[in-house]
Amino acid sequence: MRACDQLHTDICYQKANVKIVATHSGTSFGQAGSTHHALADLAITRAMPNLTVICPADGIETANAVNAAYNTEGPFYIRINRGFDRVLYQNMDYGFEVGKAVTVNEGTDITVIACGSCVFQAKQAADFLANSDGLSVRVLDMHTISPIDKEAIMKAVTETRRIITVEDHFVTGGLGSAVSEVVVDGGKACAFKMLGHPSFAMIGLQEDIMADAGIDANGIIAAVREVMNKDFEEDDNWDDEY
Amino acid sequence: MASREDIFTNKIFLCGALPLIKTIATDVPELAKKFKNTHAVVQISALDPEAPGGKYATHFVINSGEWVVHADKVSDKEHTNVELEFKSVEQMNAFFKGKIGPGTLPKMKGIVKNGGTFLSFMMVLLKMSSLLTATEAPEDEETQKLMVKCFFYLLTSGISTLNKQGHPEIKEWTSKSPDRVYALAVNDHPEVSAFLRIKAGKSRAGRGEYKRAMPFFTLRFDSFKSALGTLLGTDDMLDATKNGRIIMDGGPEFGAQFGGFLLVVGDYAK
Repeated sequence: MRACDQLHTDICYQKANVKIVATHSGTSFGQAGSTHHALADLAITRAMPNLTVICPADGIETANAVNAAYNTEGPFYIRINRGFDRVLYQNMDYGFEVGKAVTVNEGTDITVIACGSCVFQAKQAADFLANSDGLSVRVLDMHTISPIDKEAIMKAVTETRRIITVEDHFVTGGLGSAVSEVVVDGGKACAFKMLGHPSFAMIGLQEDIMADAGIDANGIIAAVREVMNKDFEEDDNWDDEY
Repeated sequence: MASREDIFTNKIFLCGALPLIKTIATDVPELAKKFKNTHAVVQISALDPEAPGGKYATHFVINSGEWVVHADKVSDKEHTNVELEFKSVEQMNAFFKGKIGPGTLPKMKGIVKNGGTFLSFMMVLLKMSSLLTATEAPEDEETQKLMVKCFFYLLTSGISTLNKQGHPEIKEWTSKSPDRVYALAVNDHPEVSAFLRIKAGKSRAGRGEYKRAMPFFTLRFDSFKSALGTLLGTDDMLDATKNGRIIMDGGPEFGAQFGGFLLVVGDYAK
């Protein structure tokens, strides 16, 4: 962790106007092996005060994030892949704002909160589930991990009462942990499941690694079905009201 | 012995329509006044050899203007002050469908001892009848509001009742559903809202707005008048949707499904 001192002391503590763009994040360079998987960076960076942490969903969002970083004073950490991400956004004008989640899909049954390459997978899963299971899945592109959009999270808790987080990162410390902190602080119960890498990932192409970790569209579909069968809160009063 | 369809109709009356007596008796100030000092149990029943205890009934416990509805529950005989007892389920259904005549009139029990309560109760019953049999929207907004509220309560309770009675189509719908809420609402008037929660074959009709989660589908109207236009069938639904008098919050295919079941209840209670 000594290497993080530069980030901690020289950049964040000073609120220096430094912009860091970290490439090859998550398992995007999967075939290079576990030593080349960046799966703990969100946990480390989001713990740093004063640092804005962004994990864009695709190239368009990366462009928005870079613009925002350029126009905003203070340290930024932008986590990107290798340029092979699936295209989610068709143009720049979809309402990107630092610290504000983008609602990629409206829904009332459950909310999938994703970041990075997992947002496209979540959107695919939502489209599939709408057709196959008739489920209404809200998908939030939580591109800014720190400061996180508490309002969007609590709205999802209140309105859908079931949340799944998806990230190409260790399941501890990243997006899921950040969302869970907000939920716990909000004091309102909901069903909750975190998807991510439970441990070091296998060696292979990113698609294979994501499927293995259950963070691809099929993994998200399975998780949604599992959570939909859980009660978000005990309420077994089925007496009609008169 | 009553047929299955007669039983469905009867349960709609017992669990959907008759409970509206409480809504009307508490919402209309001049009627509410009449029960201010009343302490009584009033029951409406229909004899049926197949029913447990020989009859189906809904009874009301009234205490100083506070009403408790016991839908589809027969009251304790000794504590029932006033009772309207129909000879059969078919007779009760016919009476509430407006076929009032010597053959459908109920036996009136306890009216000598409790004349005041009986008369006040009948006034509420007549008010309910006038609201539910209206063919056009009333002019004044208070009556419109009460009418919309009554229809919303009747329809949501009606679907839940049919589900609990094992209506084949409705049971199939609820059985396949995850935990979902369908709501009826009028813009800026949450006090008239009603909802139906369904999950894996279970259902619950509720009054007001559902607070625990966002409804999966809300059939919303921009005003009481628009709501009554649709509920009474005097407005064109397509035109109302196009011009924003009906707003569907949620997937239209689910709206169509829900709307279909509202019509099923409407047909039974017609």
